[in-house]
Amino acid sequence: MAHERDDATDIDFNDAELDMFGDFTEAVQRCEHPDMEKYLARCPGSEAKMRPILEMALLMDSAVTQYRRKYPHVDLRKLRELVQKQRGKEK
Amino acid sequence: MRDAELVAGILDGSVDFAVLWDEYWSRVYDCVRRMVGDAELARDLANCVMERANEQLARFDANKGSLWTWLHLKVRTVVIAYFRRPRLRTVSLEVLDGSREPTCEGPEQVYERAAVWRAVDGLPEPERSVLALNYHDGYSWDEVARLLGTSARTVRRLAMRGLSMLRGRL
Repeated sequence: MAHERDDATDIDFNDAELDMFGDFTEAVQRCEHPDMEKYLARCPGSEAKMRPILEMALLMDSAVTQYRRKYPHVDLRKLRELVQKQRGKEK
Repeated sequence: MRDAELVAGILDGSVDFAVLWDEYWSRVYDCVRRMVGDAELARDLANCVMERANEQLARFDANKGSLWTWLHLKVRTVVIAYFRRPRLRTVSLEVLDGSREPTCEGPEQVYERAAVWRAVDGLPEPERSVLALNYHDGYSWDEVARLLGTSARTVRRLAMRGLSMLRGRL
């Protein structure tokens, strides 16, 4: 169901996890191909919680990169707004 | 040569900007190419990034981060400005004269079909906005925090929750 909150809302993160996530995602976006295992090692005991999040961050970055490769001239922000408007009209 | 020494040398004229260009151009190009896909366009935009870096080199502050981090900000600015520039709308001649229906899937259809985008759009606020501002619009977490008037840690927390929710929905 769209727009409903779910169990993930209850997950909380400590400062070390928040910093590690920020450093990892920024390194991914700077095209530095960071080693996920090294980042996970910064937060011992948090691997089970953090690994799926970092994997999802990689998937998101990959989706954006692939889309921009396929449509280098498309503004993703405007496209998203357009698709949302079309969806609104269909409802 | 360390970043600060390199920049200081270029600014006082003892080092040619070509040294910085040779050291960083390929990295800038790889990053731009990854963002835009097209090799020729990436070459032009990478040159633009380096020219802008040359013009603004005096603003570089080694205490705030590495030269690569500073150049990467220029990459993002140049690429985002490129994607947001005004463009002429184009349409194929076959569609214009009505003789043929468009057969290729356009960006809207591809976007609409992509499960990951649908999943992001289905997230509750504020997680949806945080992820969209970062992944769609290209803002860093710190920039998203400034836009939303909150702290960088809060934004990261929301992003991580959003990604956790996404994982459950894909």
